[in-house]
Amino acid sequence: MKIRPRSIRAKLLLVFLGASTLPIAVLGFIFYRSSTRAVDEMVGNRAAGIARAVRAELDQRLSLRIEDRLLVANEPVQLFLARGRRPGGGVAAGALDTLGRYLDQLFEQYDEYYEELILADPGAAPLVRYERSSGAVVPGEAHPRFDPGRLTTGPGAGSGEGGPSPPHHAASPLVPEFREIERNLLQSARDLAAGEHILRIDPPEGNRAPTVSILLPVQASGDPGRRLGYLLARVRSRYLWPDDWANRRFGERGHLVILDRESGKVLYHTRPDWIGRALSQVDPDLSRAASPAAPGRVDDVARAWITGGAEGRRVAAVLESSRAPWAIVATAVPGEFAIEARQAALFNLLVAGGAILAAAVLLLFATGRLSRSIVTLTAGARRIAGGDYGGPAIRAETHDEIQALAEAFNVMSESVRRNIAMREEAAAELDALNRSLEGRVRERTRELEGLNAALNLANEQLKELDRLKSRFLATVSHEFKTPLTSIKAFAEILHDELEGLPVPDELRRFLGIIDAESDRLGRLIKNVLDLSRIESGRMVWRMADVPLCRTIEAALDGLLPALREKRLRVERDMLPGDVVVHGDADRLQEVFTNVLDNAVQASPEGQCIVIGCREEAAAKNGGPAMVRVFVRDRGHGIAPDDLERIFDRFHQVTAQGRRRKGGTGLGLAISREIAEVHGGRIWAESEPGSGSTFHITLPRATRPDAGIASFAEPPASVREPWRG
Amino acid sequence: MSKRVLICDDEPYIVESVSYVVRKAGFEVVTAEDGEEALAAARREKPDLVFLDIMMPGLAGDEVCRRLKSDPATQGTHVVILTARGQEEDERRAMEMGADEFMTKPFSPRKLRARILQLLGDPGGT
Repeated sequence: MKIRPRSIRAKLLLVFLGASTLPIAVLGFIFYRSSTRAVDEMVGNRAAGIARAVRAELDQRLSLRIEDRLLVANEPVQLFLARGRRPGGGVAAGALDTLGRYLDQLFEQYDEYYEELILADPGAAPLVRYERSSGAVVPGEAHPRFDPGRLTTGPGAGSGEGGPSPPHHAASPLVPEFREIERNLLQSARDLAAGEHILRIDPPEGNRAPTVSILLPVQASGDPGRRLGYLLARVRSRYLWPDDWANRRFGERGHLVILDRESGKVLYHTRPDWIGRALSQVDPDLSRAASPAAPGRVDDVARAWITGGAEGRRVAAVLESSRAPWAIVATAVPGEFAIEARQAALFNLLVAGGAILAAAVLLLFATGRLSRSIVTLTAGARRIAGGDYGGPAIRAETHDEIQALAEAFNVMSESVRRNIAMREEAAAELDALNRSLEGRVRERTRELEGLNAALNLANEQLKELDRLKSRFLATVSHEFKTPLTSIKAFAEILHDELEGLPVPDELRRFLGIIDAESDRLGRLIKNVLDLSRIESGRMVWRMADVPLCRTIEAALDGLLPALREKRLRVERDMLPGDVVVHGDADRLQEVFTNVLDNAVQASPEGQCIVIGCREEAAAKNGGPAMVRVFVRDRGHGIAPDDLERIFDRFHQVTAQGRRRKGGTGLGLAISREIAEVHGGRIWAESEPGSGSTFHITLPRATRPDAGIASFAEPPASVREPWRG
Repeated sequence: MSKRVLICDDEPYIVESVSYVVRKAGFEVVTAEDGEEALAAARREKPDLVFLDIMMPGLAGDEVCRRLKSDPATQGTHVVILTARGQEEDERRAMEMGADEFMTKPFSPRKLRARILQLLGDPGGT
């Protein structure tokens, strides 16, 4: 199956897009759902903030600057009130004039000026009025703006001074009085800071500055607890209404109102045509919202939502001034911000989308490189898999894991290439080795074949030699037999014919020796022939089941003359029943004859020969069960060194080391050959001086009955009693 | 008329020794030196017993035996193989050829005489 590396890009892109767009979409949805509330909150906060800011600035303007200046103005007023308090007095007019000029200088530098000054006595009855515009000093006249009831609430007004006090300045030297004044000023400043002294502010008319009416208590310099009177000043001040109020509005449709609570009139509005009119007339909804049920909340911004009206849904933040009986009302329409907010959100979404798109392109580019790297890697891997290890290394200049992988690939490829080269080299070496080995094997085989041929030839020659030897032996023995036959025949004839004739006994004995020795020579020739045939494997074995006892008895029969001659007894120690062995009956009889003949020869006259038979322990290798025949004599025994040598050819040993009479020297050798051909053994045991024992082991017949049945035909030796 | 015995051997001393034993037993002796001569003598003399050697120049003894036994004129003649080859296969072969007895050299004249008398009966001479 062929895997396309580009599918990795698709997967990465899919994962990236999913991971980046899903949260944005969710956030956008949530934001959209909550935008109205959020915009409301935001707009309300902004409106409240504006109200706070406006009030703070207004309070600051009201409290500091004007207060400072009026405090400074307090000094000549004190002088006036202390020295000339009588109405219509020239002193008072002069003082006021001085004061006026002084104040002019003072206010001028701040672009503010007073319009009128009214001095009142401690009972708040106006003493004198000074109009700046005309320079006229009007005594004792009540001012329409001067509200005596308001004065009673002023600081120090309730100090318990029931009526006018006698002036005391006459008794006071000027210099100490000034000092008092100085102290008094400080006290007044403290009082002013704590009390309400601004009576009213008249809104600006046309391009005239608003008018501030200020009530200022005047204390006695020498006696701080004693109030000399009051100063009422009407001051026009541009500073109170800076032109930039209009900038404070919030949004296109929001606006700012400074409202006089007592009159309900608009002191300031973004729209100039509202100023001076009652708010309830121009905007009833806002008017209701701006008059909370519990007035006097100075610090809390009251928020009110106005749903009706042509403006649509809007918020009003209402804050009361701490310095004047005014309210600052900031309104805003959330609707326009909602659109803005949504537009902003949309913009944000667009920006985010663009960013995602750009990132996706970047990702595609990056994964493109990755893909190409992987494709290169794959091609390299395929090339290596295809068996091309010698090709150019895989190049991936990505400075990342891919490059590391590619380098690992290259290392692997190189390793494989080296490995293969080594293997090929080894294979070539092996091949060469094999070829040389083959050559050597061929060479060796030829040598071996030559050797084999030589060996075969040698073998053939040996066989030929063996055949020649056998033929030679056969021929020789035949050729021996011919003269031997004549010797034997004539010796016996002579021996018999001389019977009864007067021949010396010694000569007769010599003739007997010739006869016996020719017999012996005949046996020798026969033995040599037999041995040769057994060794060359040309002996014909007639293996059958042979009754052991009968064979032994037949052998003993053949030895009867010798037994009789030496008056030997034969003791039989056979197993019960007739043991049947597997073998060639004639050859086994020959073995027993040889061994028994040996015993006869070894036994002293009149002794006893024991012949017996025993069961042999079963062979370990699972061979046939064996029987052991033993023949024991009472002779002189055999020396230990000779126990094995007696089975060698032509090795005739007797106890005394004499050659045995009539032996051929081949009987035991032939017996051993015969026993071994039968799978048995023959050996001798002896204790020199007390006789020797010969043991022959033979295999038992596996089917004893068959052997007895086949023995119905008597063996040749039985049929031919004179043979051998 | 006394019984006749044909003795065939290429060895003259053996012929002589066997002839002595046969004559001493009381029978007439006819001799031959090879197989051909033996066959001719057998047809001519009609012997009662033939002693045959096997290894002879010309016709071998067992072949002579086979021919004697297959010829109706000589079929009744006793044949005794007297040979130096005393192996069993030789004996078996001789029996196959129809021989009546198989004797090996060297032989004992005493036993030979006993066998002849057993086969031909005692003429009552000696």
